[in-house]
Amino acid sequence: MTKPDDTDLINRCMQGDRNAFEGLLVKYEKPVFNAAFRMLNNSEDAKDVTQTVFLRAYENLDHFDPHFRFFSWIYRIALNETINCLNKRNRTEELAREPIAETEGPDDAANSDQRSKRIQTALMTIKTEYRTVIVLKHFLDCNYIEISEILEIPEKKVKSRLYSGRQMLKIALQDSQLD
Amino acid sequence: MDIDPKFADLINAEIDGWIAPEEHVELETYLAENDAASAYRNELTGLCEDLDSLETVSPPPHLKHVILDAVTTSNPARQETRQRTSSDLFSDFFGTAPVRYAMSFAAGVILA
Repeated sequence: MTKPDDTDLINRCMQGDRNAFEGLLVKYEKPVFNAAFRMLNNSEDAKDVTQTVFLRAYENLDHFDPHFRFFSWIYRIALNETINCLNKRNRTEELAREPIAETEGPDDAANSDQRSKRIQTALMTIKTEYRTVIVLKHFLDCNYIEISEILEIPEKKVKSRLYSGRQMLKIALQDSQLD
Repeated sequence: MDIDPKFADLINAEIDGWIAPEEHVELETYLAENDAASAYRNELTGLCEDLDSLETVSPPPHLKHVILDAVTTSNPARQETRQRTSSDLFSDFFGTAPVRYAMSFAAGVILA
């Protein structure tokens, strides 16, 4: 049996089918949470943002334009919510310095964990508009056109932000190695 | 040696797989003559591979249920906006007490 597509799930959801909403949740909960975490570097905030995103999506499904793809719509809500969260917190210094947890297990796993934390910390040092594009490209696997649709900016600007963001991230990682 | 911004863009485009064949040839020619640009491509490729290989951070298992409970209580109206079927209309009309009594009376008269 084939999985129902988003349009089908949305239509059923608008008719009050709770299972259809659960279908959308199962499909998008993980990428939305992952994007929120990469943007915020804080699991608790990512959890709150994810909850708000799905609540907003559910309440505003009537306003969803079916000419667009559902993932573009929900990722846009997610990124707007993370930006709201960042604005509310206004404590960027703390974000970049989330403590590195002790890891157990084989060296490879520990190294991978350290590398992941180092990249995440460097990611938090670059401006939100550049981080957003990097998150969409590298953590949500979106292409230039999709990013352009989600952020409602021209494709040329997507490329410019992505390329500059990578350069900033590269420098931040080099600086962190010197420290 | 500085890298020509045009080729820095092409390196990024190549990493993303968004480069035309003729641009690729142009880039390879430039890289063959420019060690700094080659080193830049290697560094950037490594960075992007690192980014792409980072593990997806999973939400806590209970979050799904928290969200489902929250949407159910937040907007119960949607639960009632489902399309009404003909059987709903039938039961709305014939399910009311006066209509039921009238139907029973009529059936009794017919049988008598």
